[in-house]
Amino acid sequence: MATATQVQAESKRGTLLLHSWRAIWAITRGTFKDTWRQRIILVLLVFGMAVLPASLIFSWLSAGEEIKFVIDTGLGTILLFGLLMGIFMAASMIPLEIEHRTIFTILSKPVRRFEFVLGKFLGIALTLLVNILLMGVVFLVIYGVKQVMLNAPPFQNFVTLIQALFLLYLQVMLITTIALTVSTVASLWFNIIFSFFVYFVGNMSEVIHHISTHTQVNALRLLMGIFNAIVPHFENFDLRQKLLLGDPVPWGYVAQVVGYTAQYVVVMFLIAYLLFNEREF
Amino acid sequence: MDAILEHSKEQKMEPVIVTESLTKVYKAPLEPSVTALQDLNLEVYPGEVFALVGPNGSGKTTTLKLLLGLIFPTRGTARVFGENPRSVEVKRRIGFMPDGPYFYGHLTGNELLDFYADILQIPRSQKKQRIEELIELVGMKGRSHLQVRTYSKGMIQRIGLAQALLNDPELVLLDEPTAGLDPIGTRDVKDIILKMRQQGKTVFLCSHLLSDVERIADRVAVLHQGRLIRSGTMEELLVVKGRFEVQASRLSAEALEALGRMGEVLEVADSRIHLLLEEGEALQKALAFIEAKGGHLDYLAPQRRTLEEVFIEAVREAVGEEVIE
Repeated sequence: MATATQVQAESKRGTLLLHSWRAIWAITRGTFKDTWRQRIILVLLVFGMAVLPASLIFSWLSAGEEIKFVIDTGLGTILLFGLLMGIFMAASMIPLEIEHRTIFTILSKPVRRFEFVLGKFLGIALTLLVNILLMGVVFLVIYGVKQVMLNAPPFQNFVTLIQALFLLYLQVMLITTIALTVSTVASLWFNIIFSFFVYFVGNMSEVIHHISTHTQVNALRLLMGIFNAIVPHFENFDLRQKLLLGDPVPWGYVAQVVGYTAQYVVVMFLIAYLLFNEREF
Repeated sequence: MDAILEHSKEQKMEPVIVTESLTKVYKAPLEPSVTALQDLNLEVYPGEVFALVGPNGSGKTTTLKLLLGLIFPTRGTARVFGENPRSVEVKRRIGFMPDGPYFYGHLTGNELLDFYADILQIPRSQKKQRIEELIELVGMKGRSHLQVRTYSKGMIQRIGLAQALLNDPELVLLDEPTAGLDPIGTRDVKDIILKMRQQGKTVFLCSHLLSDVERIADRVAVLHQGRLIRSGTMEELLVVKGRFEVQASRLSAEALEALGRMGEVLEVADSRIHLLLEEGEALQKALAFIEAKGGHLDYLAPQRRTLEEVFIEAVREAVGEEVIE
């Protein structure tokens, strides 16, 4: 039978856990609202949604490969604008809190530092989800219209399209987590450049792997080996080829990518926490 | 004022804030290190208004940041309610207003308080009422629906004070609470601080506006270049031991002249004299003289200096010591 002290300790732990989520949720909501008031995010969303219908018009230029053009342009546009939004939000959020000194009043309230970082992360994740969903819906409508225009069933490959959009979101979240981690110690512009560099290297993972296993130059092998080990393999998130071939994507593969992303996000978040926890303001 | 201090000490109340040899050295690569605070020993007791005064760069804000866990000591310790200042439990019991508070400009005053109330876990049923009370208290009624970016410095200061009081804290830490306020705003903030003291709250404030501090603080510590150079109750610091200020009127010219010879004359006008007298025989003799000459004793009190005089004296002594060293 539990003693009174044990019960009290349990109750306190429960309260602390509950407190954690309430504090995190307050920061998440605040961040989510804040991002919608940033003009740059709205401008990116409007541009993204404006570019998507243009793919329908310009697809005539790629006679015979019109659906490829719509898929490439559509998913490419969502990915580009998602990356711009995610990296900008993640890179600017904490440095601006520090620069504007708003962080003083927040961290002087009963908020742990990991709660602050997690709240910010979830706020950005939520904003990206809504943005990618909005652009994704526009893309699906355009895809459906194009299919009808080509006398094909409008919802052909619909499941794979949803899977592609989902993995695109995970891809954006992964690079956003890296940017958020770097933002705990680095300035805005360094972070933006660094994050795009990581994204670029991560999209060349096959080339890097090839170099690391075939080069005779030891230093290059070491460098490529390091890149191969620590930079995410973004090619795994791209389902465009499968979509064009009409190949179904097994859910097991999607689950693998989810697991890979989750591991990466957890590790990056822990690094962010360790860096932020020891930071002075 | 003193009763609170005496009471707190007699009852052996646990201090709300304790610092022991608290030291902060800022180090930056390729730059010389800067000692912002050196061996600070302080105790702040429940229910008192404690002021940390000093010129810009004397270490006041550094002390506050250490007490809030925003920065960490290089040496020594800081305890708030007996715990590490980084503890969430400590932060539940405190309120803080930074110097020149910056807030999310796109939020209205109401939204801003709502956001902080959510972080503080104020129950939804109490939140609206609490925000309305505080808006009223800080004199922002009718303006809290405007975006913070449109606020004047004084209005930001007021909303900053409101957010610091949302959780009805036991300890309120204020960094330059009257800076940038007009005379009415300054008066309002001082009244709020005095009200907090009446409610038994502890107030720890940093300021370089000495006249403001003089009217509201129970105890003062003077910082200069990161070192504590003087501290004590207002009485200890401002009252000059063994000297009294006397003002008498309805005296003849001869009597005024005779009385003037007994002490240090500050002012003579018509039949009135204002002078300083040494405690003891000189004072007794002067009082008896005024009575014997049919004069009227208008005022008799220990000589008091202003906090500014004490502060300047302390800084000069400290600078002198440094020169000697």
